[in-house]
Amino acid sequence: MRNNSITPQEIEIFLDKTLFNIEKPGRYTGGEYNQVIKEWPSTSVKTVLAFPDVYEIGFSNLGLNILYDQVNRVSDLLAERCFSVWDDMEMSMRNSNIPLFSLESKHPVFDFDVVGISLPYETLYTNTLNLLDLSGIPLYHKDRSDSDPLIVAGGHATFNPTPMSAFMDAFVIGDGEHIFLQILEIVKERLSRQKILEKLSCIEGIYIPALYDVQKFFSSSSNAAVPPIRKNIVTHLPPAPEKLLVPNIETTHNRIAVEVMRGCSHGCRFCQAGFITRPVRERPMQEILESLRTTLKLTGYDEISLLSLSISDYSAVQNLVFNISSEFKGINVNLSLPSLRVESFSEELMHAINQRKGNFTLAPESASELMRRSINKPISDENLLETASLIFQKGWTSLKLYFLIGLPGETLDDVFQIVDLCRRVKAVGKKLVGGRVRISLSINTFIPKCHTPFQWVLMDSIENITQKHKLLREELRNTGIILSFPSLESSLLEGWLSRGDENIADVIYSAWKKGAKFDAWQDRLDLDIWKAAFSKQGIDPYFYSHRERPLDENLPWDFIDTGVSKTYLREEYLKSKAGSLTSDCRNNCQVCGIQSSYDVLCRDLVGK
Amino acid sequence: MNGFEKRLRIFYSKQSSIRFTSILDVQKIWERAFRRAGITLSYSQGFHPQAKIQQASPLPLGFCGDEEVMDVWIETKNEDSVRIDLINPYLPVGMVTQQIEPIDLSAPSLQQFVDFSDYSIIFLDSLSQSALSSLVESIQISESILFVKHSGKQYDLKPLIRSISSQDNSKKGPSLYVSLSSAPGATGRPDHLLQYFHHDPSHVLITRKMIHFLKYD
Repeated sequence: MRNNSITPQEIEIFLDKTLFNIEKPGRYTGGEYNQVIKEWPSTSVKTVLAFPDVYEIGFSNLGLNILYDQVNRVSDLLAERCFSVWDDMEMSMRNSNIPLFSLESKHPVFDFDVVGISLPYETLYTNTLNLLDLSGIPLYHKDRSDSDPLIVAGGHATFNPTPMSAFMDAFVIGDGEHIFLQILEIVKERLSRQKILEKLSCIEGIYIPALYDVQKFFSSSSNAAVPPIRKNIVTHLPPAPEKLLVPNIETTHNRIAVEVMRGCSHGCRFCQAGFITRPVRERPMQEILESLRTTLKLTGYDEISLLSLSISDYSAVQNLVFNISSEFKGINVNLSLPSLRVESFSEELMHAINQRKGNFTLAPESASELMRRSINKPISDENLLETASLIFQKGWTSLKLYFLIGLPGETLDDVFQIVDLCRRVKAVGKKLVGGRVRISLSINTFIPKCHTPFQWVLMDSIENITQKHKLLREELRNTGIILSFPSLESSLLEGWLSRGDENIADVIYSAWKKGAKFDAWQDRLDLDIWKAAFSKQGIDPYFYSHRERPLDENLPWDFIDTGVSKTYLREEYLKSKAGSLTSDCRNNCQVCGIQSSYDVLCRDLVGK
Repeated sequence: MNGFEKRLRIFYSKQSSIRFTSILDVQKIWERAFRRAGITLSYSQGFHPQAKIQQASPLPLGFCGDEEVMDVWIETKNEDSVRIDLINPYLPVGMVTQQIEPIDLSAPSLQQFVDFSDYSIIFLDSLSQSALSSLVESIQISESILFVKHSGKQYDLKPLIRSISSQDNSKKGPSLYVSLSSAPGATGRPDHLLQYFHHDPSHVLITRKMIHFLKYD
């Protein structure tokens, strides 16, 4: 039973008497430098931004930080934060009938007008239900009334919203910056829940499960009857948040992360982010530098990270890196770069980085010619070895390599070529830096994601994946190369959930009921619970993951329009089967549909 | 280094919810606060340079501190002293600098002179004065107070107690005052004392009022 009369003061008292015995109590206190606390009674619309995993994981989430900044810039709106709580805290809260609360003002989540949930990946679904339940909010949207907050979700996982559509009042598909403020403005009008939803449903990029007839979309012959939900885009990246929160405890990313570029023009066929975040938008270099200067002063951080899907494609990457290195090195600030594409790597860029700290990460993804053509990421071994050699020559000693296994048509020989390539990279390193060389190999299992050219293909079989893992382990034994890969279980679950339809909702619910939680934590995931939940609903999970879908099948996410046409994805899929490549569209438009969908010229959105 | 090095002794308080931030994280908080304040910390030499900050005696997680002490080494270009008001605006809620003293660079390290600490323990749930008195008495008459730490190591708290008394503060409720040795290798913790006598340390508010140092020349 929800205790509607509980006050923030009572929650504070509970915390005072509880946290001493709780693991990592700093997760639950708030009070970070730069936190925003507004006058509760005089702020007209209140939103709590939720990340359904523990504080340390969610703290640095880019989307959450952008929205926190944007909302709090508006005088009569406020945004606070909440995260999933660990088991010990949950038990204490449930025993004392304390609902989930915000870190800033300690108000119960149900006191807010809007709960904005970040869903970057699917393994957060059970945590999302648990978060709502611990907040005392009905899980299914149909059970909520005018006195409940509006539950809104956004993030990459919502590009297939169907598995979670029974639980959410609204989804923001695509860029959330402006649209989230629009939602809050509508909520400000204090209409009934029904009226609010009706108004929201008129905004491009918002999907309201209670009002959108998915069946009708699929049954109607033309898009005119029930138009698809088209993702929202911002044509220019809004200013990066500068007054970033600084945690009082260790979090996963203790640094300034500035988004340099959104979108990617390469079209690697496995990469969902690359397709759903089109078109490419660059933040001008001067704006980045200005923002970094301010943010460093306001936060005191000593590390900068440049965020983008493919940093080396940023038009002024060398200048940017050079300027950052020369301007901030004197004040002991480190620069960390995300994984780099091999082919766009250059000696000039290496020179500009001008520091020897940390890892270098390269993402070749595959090691055989056949696979490289299939996924449209053509690099040559020579190119990779030259790059590695350059990295070691410049003084770095550790190199991390990202690869995928389980790609369509992949054989054991293709996987063996990964081993072979890594050994060659290691040999190059050994020659140049001797025994200090450190190669780590991070292997991911390919999961065919929606809105990519591979959305029709099936996941590799359990037997094959197991065999490939075994090959990697055996062949790399005693080589000194550090190997890591996700468990088979977590890949399977991600496959089932990301490719699921509306029938999955009850599976998620019953898995949560049976105790599934923190599924993104490999040591916490219990696939047997999930298998039982599927079987309880009479559903075969492999129907979603291990079945090649015919090209004319209606896919559960077809009513979401990313701006990239299905025809284009189909062509890309067929090209992949034929082993033919599609070049980077930055200089040579491939007519994916994004320009006509949004009436933009991609070349206008990137730097000169 | 362009300027010269200075060593400062900083007295600060740590109150309210930031008491749930561990000493390692407090170190990071100071580093960032100095950066925000535009004060350059000195760093140790070597492959992993560390900011030169030395806490006198680490405050356990969950304890408040009225007067914590640390030494920091900074780089400066001029003789101006670092003032409290140059640092305080850059600290998170709950941490306040009380005093800053310049210290001779060659002065010995703080830790080796830590002697004992005074703690106040406020009972958040009402505890009768008589119950409190009998707790004090039990502590006083015990010949030894053997406590087993998380690590499995057992230690005797009794010889580490310098003084103990109770007070019924009408505003805050009944409180216990205890002074325990904080010397290196002989540190007694008030929460262990409570646990030994079956009081849940989560139902009290422990504040270290002061750290006492041995005199040195």
